[in-house]
Amino acid sequence: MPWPLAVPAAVGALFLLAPLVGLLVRAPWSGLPRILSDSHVLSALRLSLICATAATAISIVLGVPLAWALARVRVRGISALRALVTLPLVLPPVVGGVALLFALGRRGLIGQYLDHWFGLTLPFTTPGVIVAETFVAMPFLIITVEGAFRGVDRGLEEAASTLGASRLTVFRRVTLPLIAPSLVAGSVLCWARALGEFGATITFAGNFPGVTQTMPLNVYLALESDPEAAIALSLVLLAVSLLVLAGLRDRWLRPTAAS
Amino acid sequence: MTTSPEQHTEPELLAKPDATTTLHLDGNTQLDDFVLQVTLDFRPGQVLGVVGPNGAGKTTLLRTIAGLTPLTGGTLRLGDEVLDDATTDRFVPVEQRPVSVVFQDYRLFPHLSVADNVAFPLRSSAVKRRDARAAARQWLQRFDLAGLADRRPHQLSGGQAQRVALARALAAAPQILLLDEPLAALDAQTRLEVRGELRQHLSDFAGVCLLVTHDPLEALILADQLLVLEDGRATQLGAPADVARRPATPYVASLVGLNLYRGVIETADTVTLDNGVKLAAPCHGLAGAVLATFRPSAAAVYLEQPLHGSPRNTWPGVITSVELLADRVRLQVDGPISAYVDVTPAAVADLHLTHGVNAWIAVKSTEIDVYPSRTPFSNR
Repeated sequence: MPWPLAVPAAVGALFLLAPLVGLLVRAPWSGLPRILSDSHVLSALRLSLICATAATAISIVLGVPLAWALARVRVRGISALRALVTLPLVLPPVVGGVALLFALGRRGLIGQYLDHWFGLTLPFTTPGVIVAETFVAMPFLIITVEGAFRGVDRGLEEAASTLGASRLTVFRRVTLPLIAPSLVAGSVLCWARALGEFGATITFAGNFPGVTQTMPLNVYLALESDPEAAIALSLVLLAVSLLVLAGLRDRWLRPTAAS
Repeated sequence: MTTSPEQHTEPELLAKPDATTTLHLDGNTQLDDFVLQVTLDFRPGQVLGVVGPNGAGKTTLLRTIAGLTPLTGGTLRLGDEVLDDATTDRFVPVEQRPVSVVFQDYRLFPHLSVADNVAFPLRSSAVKRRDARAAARQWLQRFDLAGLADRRPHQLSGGQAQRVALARALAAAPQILLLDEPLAALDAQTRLEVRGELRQHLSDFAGVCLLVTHDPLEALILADQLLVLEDGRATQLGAPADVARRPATPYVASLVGLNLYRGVIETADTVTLDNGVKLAAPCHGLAGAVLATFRPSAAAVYLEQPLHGSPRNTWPGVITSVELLADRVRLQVDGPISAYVDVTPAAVADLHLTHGVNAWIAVKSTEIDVYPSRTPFSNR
């Protein structure tokens, strides 16, 4: 390997790995059980898991049909829609949170009607956390699944329709099973992103223990009052990330038997 | 209550296709600058083979009937039911047509087992899962696939995949069965075996059956009627034996290996070809525009002009290609009448017949078949 490539490569690898090593070295291993059994931590963890899972479920229900439409519908402006839909991927999450406030807040574009008609207020509530996480994480599912829809052999869908399957049946019994591996991968990515969501959540939902304080917010706060607890909580999130990575390796990187 | 497969081959869930329903097509399909224009009645109970060069519209014809490509003009009817009418915008979508297609690449669902593939058309209609499974099992038995029921398509050989595709198509109880190059994906040995099976299954099928192929032998063996498509038009329709004996176009002649010439009869038993050359042949009292054919093996090759012989037709030419076919050698000889001539390998060696050699061709007039040139089948 020529040194002009080898040196920056090594520096790059170190740069990415060093913080993780630092985290592991400074971890208060003996104090872990005490910190993690703290009721605040447990409720933040539970809230995080519930909200991330709910956000992923909403993303699947809304995102899969949207991805299908983006991949299959041929009308003017669909590519502009695709760009807008995936905007949250590159948008600073704080901006997302502000945008959500002005759309779904009490005085927001849509929020005022939610409040007026249904008495529904989203900001600074647990459903608000789910909304913020969904906003940020759903595009990860959409782009993964949309790519898979594009890759589906149209001949198989055509064959299914000649065998009497309606378009919905073709989707349900042929298209969806064929993209299942990508749907799993997209869901895992979406879930991981939702779990780590910070900026949009704190902006839109605030930071109320037990209601909107998720793990990342908990870590941030703990850093000021109890650095050891921050490290411990970070370790938990790191462990979850590693689990996700391992899951993706199996599901995503291995060629499926079907193809 | 148990019954053996022999007594009970037709799954009771499936209605038998109505054997009296004819498919009528009178229309055209336009794709970019290509137009397919066909007027034809497809009678049930017989296999219509569709042959033609690449790009002739064979697959477009199949897709038009299936409902995968709409007509741009005219109508398609099955009996009295209009499937597609370009003028009234009536269009029965593909999933509602009593049509099954066996695609060239079979298109088995990779995520489903063989049994679930065959059960797919039943599950798509209102049939309950349990009943669909039972019916699928009977189809699997009938196609000798029972042992493969739990396999996935990628675990099947080419011949097995072909059988599964046909079983799945028939399980839909279609009134119209469309096969697009059903044997093209198979190796030569498997093709022989499957061709025999396919012939059996197709002869059992009571509905309209259309089989697209580029292999003339396949068409001759599997089809009851042959439709020749060239450049989007039907150029010949007839029994395979008639088409093979009396080709209507140069394409068909090349397909069946005959020399074909277009000409007119001006004097008795003489055909004046388009380029003015005269060919002596028995004309059976015909007059006007005719076609004349002879087999490549009916011609003889001489190195010098044959002067005192009985053949009425002799002409000079130059050998432009030499090709070994199984037990004989096919020469292409260009001249006033360009022709394929078959000779033995021994003759090629004795006479040194190679590319560029000047030779005389002789054909007895009795070897020449003359028949009217009106296209036996006109689609206008």
